[in-house]
Amino acid sequence: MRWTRRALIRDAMVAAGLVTLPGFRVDGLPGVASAASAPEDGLAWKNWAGDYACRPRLRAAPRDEAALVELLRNATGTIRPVGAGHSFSPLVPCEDTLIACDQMSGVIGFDAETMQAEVWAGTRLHELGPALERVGQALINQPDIDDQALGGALATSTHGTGQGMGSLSSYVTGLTLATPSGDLIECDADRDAEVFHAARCSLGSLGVVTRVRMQNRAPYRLRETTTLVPMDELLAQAEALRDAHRHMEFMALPHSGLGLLITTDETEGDEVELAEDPQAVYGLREAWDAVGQNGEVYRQALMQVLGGATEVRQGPSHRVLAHDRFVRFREMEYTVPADQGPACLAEILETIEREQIPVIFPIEYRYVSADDVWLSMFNDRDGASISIHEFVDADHRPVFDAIEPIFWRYGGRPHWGKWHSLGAARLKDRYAHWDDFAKVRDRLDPKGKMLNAHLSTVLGAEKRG
Amino acid sequence: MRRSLRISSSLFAGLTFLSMGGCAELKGSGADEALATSGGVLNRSQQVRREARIFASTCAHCHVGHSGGIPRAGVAEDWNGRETQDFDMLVQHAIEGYRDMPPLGTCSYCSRAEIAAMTALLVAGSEIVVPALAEVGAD
Repeated sequence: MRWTRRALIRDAMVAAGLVTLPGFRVDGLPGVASAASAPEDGLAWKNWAGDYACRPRLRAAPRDEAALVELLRNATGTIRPVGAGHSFSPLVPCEDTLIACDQMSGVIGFDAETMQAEVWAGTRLHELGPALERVGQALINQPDIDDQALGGALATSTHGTGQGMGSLSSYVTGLTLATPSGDLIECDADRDAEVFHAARCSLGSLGVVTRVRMQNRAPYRLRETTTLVPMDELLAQAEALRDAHRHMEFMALPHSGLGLLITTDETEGDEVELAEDPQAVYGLREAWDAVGQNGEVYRQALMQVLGGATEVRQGPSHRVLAHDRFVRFREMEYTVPADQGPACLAEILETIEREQIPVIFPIEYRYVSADDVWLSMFNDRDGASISIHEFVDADHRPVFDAIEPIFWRYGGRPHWGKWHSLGAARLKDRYAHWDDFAKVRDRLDPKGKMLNAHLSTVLGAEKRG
Repeated sequence: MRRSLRISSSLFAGLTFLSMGGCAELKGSGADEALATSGGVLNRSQQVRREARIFASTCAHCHVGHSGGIPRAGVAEDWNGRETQDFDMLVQHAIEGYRDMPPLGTCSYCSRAEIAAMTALLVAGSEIVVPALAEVGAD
């Protein structure tokens, strides 16, 4: 069917109307008026990268905590929370009940003196910055991708970069957790402290986090500068660069000996300049394909295309720290001890070039400060996070399989929301509070209702009854 | 430029139009009865609010104000030049994911009908979206 403007308007009207027809009932359980299920249309859920899928009996989006609690109490089988589906590990798939908190979004309340705000966990990160700005606050730090739901980002200790700055989870000062049995627990460092330490990064294994109290600061503006620099120089000066800027990261460009240095500092400048090319990474691929995988020619090509041009972006913090990442990829990320970061990245780059691994997607290198979150990748140690990407239409396994053992040699901890091959037996020794977390999980979910196959593997836990 | 939050209230009117129009189209086919049914079916205002939330939290993040290859909401030339001109195919791409379009547009709970409604709003809604964008000064 080829369409015309008039036909599309008609289709739009019909499509919107369809959702109110009896055949498109949005209830999944009696009395849960806001839960949207799709057993009739049987849509499969897929993650952002499109490599994990499931067809749950119920996909629900409760409108409020009461509906969520009722849903949890009545649900049978496995329950999994889902945000934007931006994880590259199979945290979400299940065949029974998938719960999104998207309909619970926004700032609930704030305290101008303590600079804290209570926020619904279903708030997408790209909505959070503007919402906080309206109440005179801003996140202290945030990831460079802001598609995610806050609850999902916290469940995996998602992070940005910066000297003395932790992951999003480290800025949580309190939260409300809906347990698998349908109880609401309010916790912080003083109330139910063990639940608090576990739930700030729980992989969604303890229930569904509904509200989060974040430690923020007054709104601020940032100026970001991106420059092409020889990779040897970046590796040698990584720690000095980290200490010299509020935020510092670099993107190593494999096979070129070059990297993009990105430094970000506060500014008083008024002008807003946020332009960027979200699909520039396709240019790297085209260049690589064009030169027949000749490293030296590729390097010269990049020098010509990227060299000498310093890009500047400036504006409110939530708009500068976030970048447009439209090109879909798969990702593996490990965090190694901060002082081991440069050596680890150098070995990765050497391996890629020596073994002629055809990966050209930039490798991201960031610093994150230690925290006291039990299952955080940054628990009790400053970390250097190194992220390997591959295009979704390419086979990521040869690349990831070749590089993952390097991370292990440096004591790396995998990002919970990104691809890795470790199970509980090899994970538990990486976390001092592993057993403490297991006790809390066992207490809150004794039957393992929140466990899908992946969580059983990585947490070493089984369903009961 | 990211204007999803600022724009959501204006788009609410557009979404209301779509839903109201859909209901008018469907009168006599049980739509009103369905709207009046309690105990599971969302009423009209709840559904419109839900759709507005879907648009603001997912679609608008990429399709409002950006360029660089992402077709913009209500900008006819961005959509007319698409390789595929089949509306059903566009909906299927939105559901399954296609090139840089993520599956379900990252709306993990959306029904097929809601994905179709959002797609239609993005593509055909220039009469609705463009004035709404102009109201808030979005490009």
